[in-house]
Amino acid sequence: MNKMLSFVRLDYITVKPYLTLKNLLIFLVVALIMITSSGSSVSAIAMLMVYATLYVSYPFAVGEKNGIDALYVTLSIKRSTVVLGRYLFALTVDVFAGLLAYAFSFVVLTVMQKDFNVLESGVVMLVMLLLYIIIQAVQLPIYFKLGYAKAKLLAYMPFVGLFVITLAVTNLLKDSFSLPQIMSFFGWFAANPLVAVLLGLLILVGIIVISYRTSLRFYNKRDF
Amino acid sequence: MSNILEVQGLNKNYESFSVKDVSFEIPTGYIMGFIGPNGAGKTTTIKSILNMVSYQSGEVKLFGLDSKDNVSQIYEQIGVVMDTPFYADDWTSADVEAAVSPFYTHWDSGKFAGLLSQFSIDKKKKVKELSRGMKVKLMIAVALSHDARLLILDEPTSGLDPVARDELCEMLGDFVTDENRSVLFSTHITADLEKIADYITFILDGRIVFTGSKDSFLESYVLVKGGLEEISAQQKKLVIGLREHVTGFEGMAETGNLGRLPKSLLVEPITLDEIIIYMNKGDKLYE
Repeated sequence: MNKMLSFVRLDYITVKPYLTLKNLLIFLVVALIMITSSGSSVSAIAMLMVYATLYVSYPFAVGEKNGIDALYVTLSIKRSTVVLGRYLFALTVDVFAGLLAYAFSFVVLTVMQKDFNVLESGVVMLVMLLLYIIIQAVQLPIYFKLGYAKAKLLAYMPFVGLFVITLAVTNLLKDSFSLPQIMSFFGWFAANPLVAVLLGLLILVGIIVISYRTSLRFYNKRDF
Repeated sequence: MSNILEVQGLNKNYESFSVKDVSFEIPTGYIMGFIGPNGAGKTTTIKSILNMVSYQSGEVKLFGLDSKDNVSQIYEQIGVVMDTPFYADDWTSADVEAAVSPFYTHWDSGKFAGLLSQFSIDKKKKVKELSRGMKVKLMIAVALSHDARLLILDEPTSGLDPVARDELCEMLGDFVTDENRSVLFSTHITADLEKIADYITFILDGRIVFTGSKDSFLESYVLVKGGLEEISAQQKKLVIGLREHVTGFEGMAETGNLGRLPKSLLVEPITLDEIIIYMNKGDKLYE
């Protein structure tokens, strides 16, 4: 566990030179404009989380440019630790970004003397967090398989894929079921929130486990 | 005398190149030069030893332990210096220390700071702003700060000026004054090894041609020169990398074959560089 945390820290040190105040300020200003124009925190939270998730791919980019994977070997970091550590780093970035976006929206709306919808903002943050975890679960194996340079175009595919899947599922539901049937299906989950949360968590953990194992299999085959 | 590194029957196959049945060992307390022309398999062998690439067969023992097991125990004791550092370009030396130190139980911050000062490495400079020589010194500073017992260097002197190369050789000489330490020094600049190496392993086209003491290696071959009329077609076959010109010929011969060559030939001692050149030529000649 100690090595795992040291590896997450190493990833942070790798991306640290690129976490500039200038970049952060640009995104905060854009988020500020979004909040003031809409009077809501939703789009600002989404945008700030997009910004943060860009950094998830940085360890791959910097690592590939400088051959840092070879450094991991000389530091006797097991490949499974590298892969799991990278997932932990991505999760840390996502959670931190979500909390920062939430806090920033709260501060801005409070200063503007506007209502900050605690629940709505929280749900948006949580949904975005889950969305990015799923997208990264698809992206990370691609990076581990191909490396950053070859994977960077492919890594955007999950965004397109998610859009296409959502569209397809929506159409499928619309064509196959009546509105009352769909409402009753979601209504059941609304009436049983614990089951809904547990089922959601189960699916999420399943996706992460499959993603991790795939990444590890790919990374184990890489030569540096 | 125990061995700090033992490589036995190492095979690594790529589509267009293979390292075949590589075996050699480094006794504790000595410097081994790992020589061969570019593309001979030096880096592949080193990366296999370090498990940076997976190999098809063979066994690598470091400090008497299998290199694929006991990973933490082994790598703690190895300092690796490659031709380019594997640190992020934008790291400062402080970042380098922050990145690597948690992984070494014997990391000595005071020693690292002392070495940076000794090597005149500006702590505020980023890795990308350091000269090639300074980058090599930074890697050496890291290697020496975690009390490595085995230094593995892959072409650290290529691109360095003579002064920096001399400094590095001096450092390596100092390193093995502690007889528990050894160095595997891969280079194609063999002049450096003539000064400091105790043992030589010579690799050509992925195969080990020689492994043993430097002195016996240098004594195994001689440079022979003479007129074209002095040597028969049969005797020419004993000359490795034979080069004929208008006034005569020159090439390398095994010392053991001298008795089968004419006594009138001019026989001179040979350098490591010349052995590599003639072996490389000879290999192509006999293809």
